[in-house]
Amino acid sequence: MSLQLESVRKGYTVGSVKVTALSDVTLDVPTGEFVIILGPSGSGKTTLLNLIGGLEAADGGQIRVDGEDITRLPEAGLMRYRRFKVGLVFQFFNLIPSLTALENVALAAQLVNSQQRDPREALEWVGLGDRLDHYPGQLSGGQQQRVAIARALSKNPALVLCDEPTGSLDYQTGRDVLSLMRRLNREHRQTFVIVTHNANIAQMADRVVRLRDGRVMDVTLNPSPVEPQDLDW
Amino acid sequence: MRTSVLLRKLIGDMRFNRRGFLAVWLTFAVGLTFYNATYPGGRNFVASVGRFWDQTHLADLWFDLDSAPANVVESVRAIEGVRAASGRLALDLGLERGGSAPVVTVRLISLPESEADVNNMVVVEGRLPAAGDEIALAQSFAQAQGIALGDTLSLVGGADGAAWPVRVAGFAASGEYLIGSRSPLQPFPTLSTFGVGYAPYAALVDLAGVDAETINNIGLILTSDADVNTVRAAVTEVLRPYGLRLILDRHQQPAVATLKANMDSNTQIGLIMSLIFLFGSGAIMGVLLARQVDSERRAIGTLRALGYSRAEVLAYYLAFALIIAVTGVIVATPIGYLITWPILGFFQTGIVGGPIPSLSNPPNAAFILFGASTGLALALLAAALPARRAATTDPGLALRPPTPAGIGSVARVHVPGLSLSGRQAVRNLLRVPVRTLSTVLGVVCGLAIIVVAFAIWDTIDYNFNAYYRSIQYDFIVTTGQLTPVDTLRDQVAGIDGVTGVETGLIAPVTVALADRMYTAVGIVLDDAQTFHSFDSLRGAPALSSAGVWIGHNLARTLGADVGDVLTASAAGITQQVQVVGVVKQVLGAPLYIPMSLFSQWTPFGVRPANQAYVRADPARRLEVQRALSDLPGVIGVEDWQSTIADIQRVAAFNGNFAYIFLGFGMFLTFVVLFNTISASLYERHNELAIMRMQGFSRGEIRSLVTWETSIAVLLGLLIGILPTLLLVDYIVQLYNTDVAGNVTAIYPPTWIAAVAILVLTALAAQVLPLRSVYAVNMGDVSKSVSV
Repeated sequence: MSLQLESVRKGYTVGSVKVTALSDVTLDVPTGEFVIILGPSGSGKTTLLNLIGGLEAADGGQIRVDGEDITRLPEAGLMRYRRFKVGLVFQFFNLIPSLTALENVALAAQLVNSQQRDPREALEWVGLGDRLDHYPGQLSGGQQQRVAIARALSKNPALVLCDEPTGSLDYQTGRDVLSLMRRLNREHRQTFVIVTHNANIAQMADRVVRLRDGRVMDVTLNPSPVEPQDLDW
Repeated sequence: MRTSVLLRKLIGDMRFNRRGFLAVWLTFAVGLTFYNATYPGGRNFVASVGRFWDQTHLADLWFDLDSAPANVVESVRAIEGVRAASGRLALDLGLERGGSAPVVTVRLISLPESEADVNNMVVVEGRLPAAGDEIALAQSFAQAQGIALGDTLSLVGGADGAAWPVRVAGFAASGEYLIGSRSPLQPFPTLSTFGVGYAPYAALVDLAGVDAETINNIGLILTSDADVNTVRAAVTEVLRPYGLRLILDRHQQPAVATLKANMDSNTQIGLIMSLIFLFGSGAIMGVLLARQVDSERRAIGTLRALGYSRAEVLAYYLAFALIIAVTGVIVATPIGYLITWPILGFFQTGIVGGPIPSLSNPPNAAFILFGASTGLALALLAAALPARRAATTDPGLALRPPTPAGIGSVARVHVPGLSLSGRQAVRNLLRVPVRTLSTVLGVVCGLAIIVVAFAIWDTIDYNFNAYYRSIQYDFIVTTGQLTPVDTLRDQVAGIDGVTGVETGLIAPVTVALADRMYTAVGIVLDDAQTFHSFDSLRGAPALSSAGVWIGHNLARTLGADVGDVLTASAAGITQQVQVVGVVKQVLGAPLYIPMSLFSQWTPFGVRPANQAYVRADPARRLEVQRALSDLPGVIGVEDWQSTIADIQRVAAFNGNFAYIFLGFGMFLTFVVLFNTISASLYERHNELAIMRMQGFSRGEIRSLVTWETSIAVLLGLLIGILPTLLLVDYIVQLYNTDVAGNVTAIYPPTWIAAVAILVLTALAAQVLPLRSVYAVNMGDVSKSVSV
């Protein structure tokens, strides 16, 4: 899935103060690319991810996904977009605590009957074939994040958006999770957009977008990405 | 300073969460208002009636006789245990108002020469009758009949057969006829057909055609240490030679029985309803504060880190309950008291049919304090658990980011065959069992109250409408003397316009079973009678010479059932009779004896009667009624259809409470579910937002929440059935007295309606909480779940 952002703007009103979160962001992401968006806290990374994911509405500009401008979609259209095209992974996993690993994945997969992947298979991809009936509270942080990735991938989305996916994981687990993502990206040609403030991760990306104060400072293409297992931070 | 800052925070918190607190406050205030409106007012009503009975020297025992010399009262007064006794002459006559008005029955009671020691009366308007052509009438009867002071009326049915013109000199009230009912068989006011009047003794003697110094009714008051059974037995011995017709003690006296049944039950119901509401408000207060404590985890940690003590944090959260309770008391107490006035007016009109002379309704400090302190205690108790949890929060832990929520082992249940949504709903309900229990209890309470509302209507219909529809005649004709069945039937059947007639014999019968004894009304009916369509509750379905049927009130009072052998005594004859059936008889405590059995006890198989049940051509009812009144020996013609209408009107009065119950049940269910669903969705705010981010539609989220609500409602319904049945039966039986008793009825549509109302109420309760989920800002949540 390709992404084109053109002059995207987003602001908030906090009390009586207007805050600009994103200003004139323009970006092109080809299908199947592994993109990392870097920036310090408050740079607008998560806002950008939310706009791409259809979680928030932009104040201006266009966000074209495979040529369709999602900023013009009504609520029902955005819901279908999130359901069929987007997979989301968060820093704190956000699994449903009352469902097992398999059920968490199935909950998302059942939304997209025709395109769903077998939830068991999705969990086996992420190495949790032996933890199907475990509840989130019975899994480690890394395992929970892998369930969250399986959940996102079970819908077979064209676009996977990850917000600080290693932010609450230890170093080794973080590297494992990134390896998994990279592998899935290569195997399934899904576009991955990962937001992080960890600059060291950027070495594994095909494309690195640097944000500061809501503006794109630069976009770097990486001809020879580093394998996640070789990353160090 | 610290206190004022905390107070500002507290007020701010309440404003922020105003919907939830308003729901709790309203539930609390409604419960307390209901208590203050019903219980103290009801007790004041009972106390007022009690004062009036004291003031009018209400008897402990009544004896109806054929006739006796007045000096027999001296013999009765001399019996040990009798404190006071009065004799009088009472006569049932027809009262004609002229024009096309039907003849109604008036029970004319002789006035004593001075104030009576027993069963006195008071004049409430006008004056006492001074001459033989004057009478005083019971005020409620006069009002119902549209009779004014100074009106001239005619008494018919006297000994000489002539109409006796009388002028209404005054309106009176007496304790024994506070409810203007004819007999223990009809312990409800039937003011359309029956009333009480008072006339000078000499006039009664002339009307009755008896010798001077004759009486036929004695009332007596016992000393405080007397045993009523012992005195009754001794007095019975003295009066036996004078044709003892009926003995009543206070429990059987219609005014006492009916007022006691209505007032005791209604005040009791008021108390039950108030407690249900106060418990309901306590439950949702607990849920609301638990949610408040959860959401303020960091704030509590900050307060504790700043140096606020556990006691201060505890007091802070208890203050929520205190504010709700204190403001609730301040508002509910005066409003409740103000509502007592229309309620007492409602009671007077509905039960008594007119004003009670000694009614007073002062605010009762003891009852008000009881209600306020109970409400306050329940509110503080409900707040105690969440407040304690807040106070014992470790500040170090509270200030850290929250760890992802886990679930207890109880919520990890696996229900085979259930869809994923169903499993999720079940486990969500088990995540916070206490809250789910509150929801379920809310449904149980709602079900109980709503079914009680419908069951009151069903029971009234089953006992008063369906029952009376099954008794198919227009008039009851009563003769002063026993008449052969055939003679009476022929006399009545000979009147133009009469389309059907059956006869009966009615007389007091003393029945005994083991050590229990009771003066019942014996009714002898032809085995082949068709006018009374009895509803057999147990035993034989039709009259036969095998034994007797008893009304269910008599069965309850005596503890008798099918197969028991009773000892029945009347007019000096004692027989052993077997109970072959128990029939529904909502009013009165009768013993039905088939004529084929009764004629075995009489000399030569004589078949006497003193009542005729008459059907009339609808176009000639008035004409027939007058002709029946003119028959020789007839002392009363009761317009049975009017009597039924009166009885149904009084019964319907209690049906009005059903509307209140229905509204309260729906309100309580709504606020409980609203609060618990709000708390549940609030707690899972992020979880549901994440589902929305994944592409779940509003409808799918609504479906999940509806699953949860439905399961809780279903659980509540299943758990609630038994307590509901018990509560319905308890409330219906509250109205029981010796001479009145409902058979509990819940028609099948009631359950369907109650379930439908509960489900709709539950669905309505989730609308607002769901709207807050729909309105969630996914962008904000997305940022809050990453740092």
